[in-house]
Amino acid sequence: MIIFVATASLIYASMRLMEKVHRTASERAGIQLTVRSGSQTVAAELREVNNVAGGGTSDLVAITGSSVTYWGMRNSGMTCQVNNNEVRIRMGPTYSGYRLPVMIRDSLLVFADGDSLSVADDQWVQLPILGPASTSTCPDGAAALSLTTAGLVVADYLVPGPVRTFELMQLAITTSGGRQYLGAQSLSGFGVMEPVIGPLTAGGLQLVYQDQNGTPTTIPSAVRTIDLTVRSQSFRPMTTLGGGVGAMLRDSLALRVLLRNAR
Amino acid sequence: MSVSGRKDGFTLIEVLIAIGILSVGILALLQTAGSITVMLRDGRLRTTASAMAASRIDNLRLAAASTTPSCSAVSSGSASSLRGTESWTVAGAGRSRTVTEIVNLSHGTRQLGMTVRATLLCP
Repeated sequence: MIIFVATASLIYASMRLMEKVHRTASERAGIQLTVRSGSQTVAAELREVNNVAGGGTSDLVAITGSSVTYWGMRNSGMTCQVNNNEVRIRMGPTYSGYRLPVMIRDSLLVFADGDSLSVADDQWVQLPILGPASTSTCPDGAAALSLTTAGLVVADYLVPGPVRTFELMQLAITTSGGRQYLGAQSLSGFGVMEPVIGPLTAGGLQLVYQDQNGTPTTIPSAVRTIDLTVRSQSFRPMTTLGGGVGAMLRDSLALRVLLRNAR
Repeated sequence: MSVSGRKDGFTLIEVLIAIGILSVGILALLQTAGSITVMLRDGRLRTTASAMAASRIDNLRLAAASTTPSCSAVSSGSASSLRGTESWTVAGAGRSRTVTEIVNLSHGTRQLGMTVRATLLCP
């Protein structure tokens, strides 16, 4: 009887230990996933940002240590036809985008070459998308995506030429259910701030912006690199071996992102 | 009237055999828990290593674009921090460079090395 009780107690203690180990492992995997996906999401969004120093244009609209408002790229491709109120984008290997452009929410950025013998007048011209995207054809009969716009001066554009669509976005910390999350909001789409990844610790998204020389800057058009840190924590405190309330599990990941289109 | 000597229940031998089988199962589960912990720790090290490598390569891309002609400021080097050590070599000439980044991290007795290769364009 004594042997039985002792062995049963040992088995029970082992099972309690295993339950704690597996719960901790599950939470640890969760917070690791949070920091990985959080840092990759922010990095992927900001990496495509276009920036021209010296008071030039910037896709970074507003920058703080815990939020960033920017024009996020959604589609890219090459034009196959340009009219006064329409841009046709060739579908195929040169086109990429995870969703179709949406009127009002997205805007067009079309490369205007101007004088083809000079780079001085080259610029990206922002145009509105005034109608739903529709399927169409290029002059050579290939499949195309037709976008309705206005105010386009046909002579300024070479065809084929690069074209992108952009959406005004904000990434920031948001609170949901008493917990903090990395939130995303489409400002041009009149969306609300949605929790995307988390939970994070208080101040779990940290952004530091540097210029060409690696010096911290608060001027959006001067930003060349962004140091981002994502800090996550577990959904609930861990339980101790004695059954008491332990500490929250925490993890963090730091990453430097170079703005690929910054000049 | 006959009386049987057998009573309902388990013998001590049967109970000990059952406990033995159960113990083997629990030991196997404990071993699995240990493996999970090691895999999680390795995953964290790999995540940190890939973030370090990506950051270093972006630093080199910035250096490549910051000079005229481009890539003239890109060179091999090494660095160490609380997270671990890294070294990178830059090879090639002309319009591109090949960067080989080696990151070494340790956590307790566990060590992890990761090698990442990337191409820098020199426009």
